[in-house]
Amino acid sequence: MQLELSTTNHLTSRTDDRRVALGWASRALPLLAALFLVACAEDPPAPEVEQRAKGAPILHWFIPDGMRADPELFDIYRWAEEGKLPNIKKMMDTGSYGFSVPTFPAHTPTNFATLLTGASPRVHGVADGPMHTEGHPLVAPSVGGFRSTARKVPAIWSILEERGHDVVLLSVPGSTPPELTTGGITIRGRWGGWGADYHSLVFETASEEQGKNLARAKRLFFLGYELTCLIEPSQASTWSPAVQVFEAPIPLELEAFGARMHAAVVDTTDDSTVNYDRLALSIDGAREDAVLAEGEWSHWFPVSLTWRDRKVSSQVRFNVVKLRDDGFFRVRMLVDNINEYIVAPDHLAGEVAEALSPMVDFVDNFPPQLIYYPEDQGAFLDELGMSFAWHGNAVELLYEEHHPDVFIHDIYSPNQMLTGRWWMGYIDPASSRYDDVSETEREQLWGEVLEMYQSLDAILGAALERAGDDTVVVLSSDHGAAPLDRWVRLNNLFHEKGWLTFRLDPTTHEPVIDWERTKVVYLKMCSVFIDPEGLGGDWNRASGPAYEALRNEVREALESLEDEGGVKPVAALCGWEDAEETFRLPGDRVGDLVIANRIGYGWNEEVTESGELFDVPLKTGYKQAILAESEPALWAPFMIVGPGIKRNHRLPEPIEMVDQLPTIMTALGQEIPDHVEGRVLDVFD
Amino acid sequence: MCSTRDLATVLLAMMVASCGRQEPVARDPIGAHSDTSEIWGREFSEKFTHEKVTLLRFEAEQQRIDLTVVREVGPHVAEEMILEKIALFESTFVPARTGYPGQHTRQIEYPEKYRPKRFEKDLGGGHLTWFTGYANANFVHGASSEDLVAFRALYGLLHCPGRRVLVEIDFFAEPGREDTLSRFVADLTCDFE
Repeated sequence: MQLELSTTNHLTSRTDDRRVALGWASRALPLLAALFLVACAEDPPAPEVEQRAKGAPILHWFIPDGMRADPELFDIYRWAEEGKLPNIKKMMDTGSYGFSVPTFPAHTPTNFATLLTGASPRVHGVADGPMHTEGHPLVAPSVGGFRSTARKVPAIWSILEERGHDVVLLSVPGSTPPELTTGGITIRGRWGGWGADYHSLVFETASEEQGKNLARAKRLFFLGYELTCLIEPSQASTWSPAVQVFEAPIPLELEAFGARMHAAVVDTTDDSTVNYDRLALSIDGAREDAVLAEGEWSHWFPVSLTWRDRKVSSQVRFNVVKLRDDGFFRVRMLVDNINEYIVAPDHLAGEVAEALSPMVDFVDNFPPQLIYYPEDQGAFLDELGMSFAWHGNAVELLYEEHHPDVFIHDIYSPNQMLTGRWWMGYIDPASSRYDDVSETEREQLWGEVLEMYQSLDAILGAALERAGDDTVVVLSSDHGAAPLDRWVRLNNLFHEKGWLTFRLDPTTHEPVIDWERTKVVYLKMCSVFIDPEGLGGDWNRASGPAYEALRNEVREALESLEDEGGVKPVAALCGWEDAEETFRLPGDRVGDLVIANRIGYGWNEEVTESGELFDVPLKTGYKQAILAESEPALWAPFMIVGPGIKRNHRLPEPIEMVDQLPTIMTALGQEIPDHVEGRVLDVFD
Repeated sequence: MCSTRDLATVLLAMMVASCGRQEPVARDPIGAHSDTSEIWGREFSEKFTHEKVTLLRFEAEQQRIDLTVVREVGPHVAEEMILEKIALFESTFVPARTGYPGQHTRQIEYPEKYRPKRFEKDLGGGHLTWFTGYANANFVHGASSEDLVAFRALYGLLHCPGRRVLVEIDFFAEPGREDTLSRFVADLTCDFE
C-alpha cells in the first residue's frame, strides 16, 4: 500500500520547544525553498554543490541512527522525488545513491564499527553491544561494543587525523574514550563508558497501581540506573510553593545525579473540589522557579550535579507529562547532555553552552521510557524536536567556529522514533498491530515520521551548504527498523527445560540467575551460552561429548520453538565455530550458539515466574538480530556526492555496509587500509 | 571565546587544543614534523603548539609516546587539572551501565586483570602520578581482553611546580615487556627543555 505522506509541519502545532526546532530549520528556509522549487520543476536542472571560498571540509559523513530506507515502504528517494526531502533530492541529482544492508546483528555498535572501518565484525571485533570474553563471569560483560576500546582496527577518523586532517565527531558511537589525539574534537560518543554521561529521567507517583503497571519496566531499571523513579511524597521537604493553592500541596523531592530539587503538586483552582492541576518547582528549595500544567515545559535551570565526587555545572528542565486530579504525576526531566567531562577538548562544552541551548542529544532513553501513557507520545515529540534543533545548530556552530576537514555526525533520535511504541507498529503493514488504528490516525503517524525525515534532511542541508567542489558528502545509517510483535523469553524456555535456575531476590523480588546451577542462558543480543557443568565463575568455552550433546539439545529446542500460530521465531542459528562463516562474527566474542530472530520477534532476557514464552511488548519496532539481507525493513540509505562521483546514479542493487568506507576513501583519494573487506562501489565517472 | 569558567578549566582546555573560537591551527601530518625536542633521551617531534600548550610525539618500533606539555601553570591550577584528568581516565574502568541492558545484562565490568594500577612518586623537582594498563591497537587506554591488547600502556601526569610545567603522558609499548614501563618511568625527570 502506498500512502500519500502529509507534508504538514507539525512542529508549529505543539510547544514552544518544538518551535525551537522550526526556528533552526527556518534559518535554512531560503535554501530549502529554492531546493523545493527545483525539486518540483518539471525538468529540474541538477543543482551544483556550492563552492565555499575556503575552509570546506573534505568529508562530511552524516550517519543518523536507525534511518530506515527501503525500496518499498520507506522509499526516501520517492519521497525526495515528490519534493518532500529537498536535500536528499539534491544529493540524488548530484551523486550516487542506493540502499545498504546492515551486517549481522543489525544494530548500532556492530554497524557503526563496520561503517567506520570497512570491515565485518570478525575483523573489527565489535560483535554486539555487551560482549563476553573467556576468563570472565557471564554476569557482567567485559567488553562494551559502544566503546572505542572494543575495536581492533582503526576507524576512519584515526586514519584521516594521522594524515593531518582536523576531525569533528559528534555523538558517534565508538568514538569514546576519545581516539583523536592531536587537536580533533570528540563530542559525547554515546554509551562509550567515558566521562559524565548523564541521561534523562522520569519521576512518577509511587503507587501500587503504577508499580504493577511498570512491573516489568522496573525490572529493567536496575542497579541504580533507574530511568523512571517512582517517588513518594516527601515528609522532609521544607519548601512551600508561592503560588496560591486550595488543597494541601503534595511535596516532592526530585533527586538526580547528586542534586536535590524541590517540587509540589498543587491545586490552584478555587472550586471546592480536589483537582490538582499544576506542578510547582524550586531548584534551590527557596525560590519558586516554575508552575507547570500538564504538557508544559519549564525553562532550563542551572544546577550542580555530581560525577565521581566532582561537581559538574549542568542544566535541567522539566515537563509535566501527566497530572491527574488526585495528584498523580509523571514528570520528565532532561539533563544537558554536554559538559566538560563528556567532550574532548573539554572547553568545547563551554563554547557550545554559550552558543547553543543545552544539549538534547536524543529523544527518550534505552530502554524506552516514554511508552507507558498516551501523554508520553507528546513528550516524545517535544523532545524529538529539541534533539533535532540542537544537532542542526551544532553542525552550523562547529563548521563556523572550527572549520573541520572531516565531520562525522550521528543523531540517535530516528532509531528512537522507529523502535518506540507509537509509530512502527501502526505504519508498517507487516505489523500485527497495523489494523489497530484508523487510516486517519495512520496518516497522522506517517506525517510525524515524515517530519522526522525532513528534520534529517534539513541537517543534511546544513552540511551541503558548507560543501565545496572537492567535498565528499555521504548520508548513511547503521540500520533500519522493523515491526516488533512478540517478545520471546528464551530464558523461560531454558528454565522450562531444566537448564536454567533462578531465584527471586527477597529484597527486590528480581529474578536472579543461579549461575552455578544454570547450564544454558540467553544473553543479549544473539548469544546462547552453554556449559553442562554450569555457568558459574569465570566463563570459558566448554567442549567434549556432554557439551556437544547439550548443545544439540538446545539447538533442537530452539529450532522447534514456535508460537501458538505455528510461527518459528528462530530464523537462523549456528555454533560459535561457524559464526565467522555464517554471520561474519568473531567466534571468540559470541556464545556457544548464535541465533537470528525472525522479523516480528525479538529475543528477551527476562525470566519470569509465570514462565510464559511469548509476550506482546509495548514498543512496536526493533532490529536486534534480524537477518537483514532478506528483510528490506532493516536497510539503510547510502548516498554519496563529491568529485568524480557519478551524478544521478542509482545503484542497481543494495550494497553492504563494508563497501562504504573503501568507496569513501577512494572518493577522498586516500589509500584504503589493509583491514578493509568491502569493495569500491561503481560510483565513479 | 571560552566560557566564563575559572582559570583552571581554561588552562585544562588548552592542554589539548586552542582555546575558543580562533582559526584552526594547522598541524603537520605524522612524519612531516619540522621541530623536534630532546626529552628524557628521546627525540620528540612537535605535533601542535598553541600558546602555552605543546603536543609532542616520539615513535619507535613498537613504541609511541605522546606528551602534552602545559607551561606557566600554577600549583593550584595544576592540582585541579590533575584531579580532572584522573577522573576522566578512571571513568573508563569503573562499572558502568551497558549499552543494550537487559534483565541479566546490566553493567560492564572491567576484568581485574586489565584494570590499570595507580602509582605515585616524587622525583627531582616534581611529582608523578601514573597508571599502568593496556591499550588497543588504536592507542586507546582500556583494552579489556587478550585479543584487544596491542600495547602495554602508561598514562601519567608529571607536575613540575618549580618550573610551572604539567606534562600529560601517554606511553605505549610492546606487550609482555614489563621492564619497558619501569625503565621509562625511571627516565622521567623535570629536567627537560
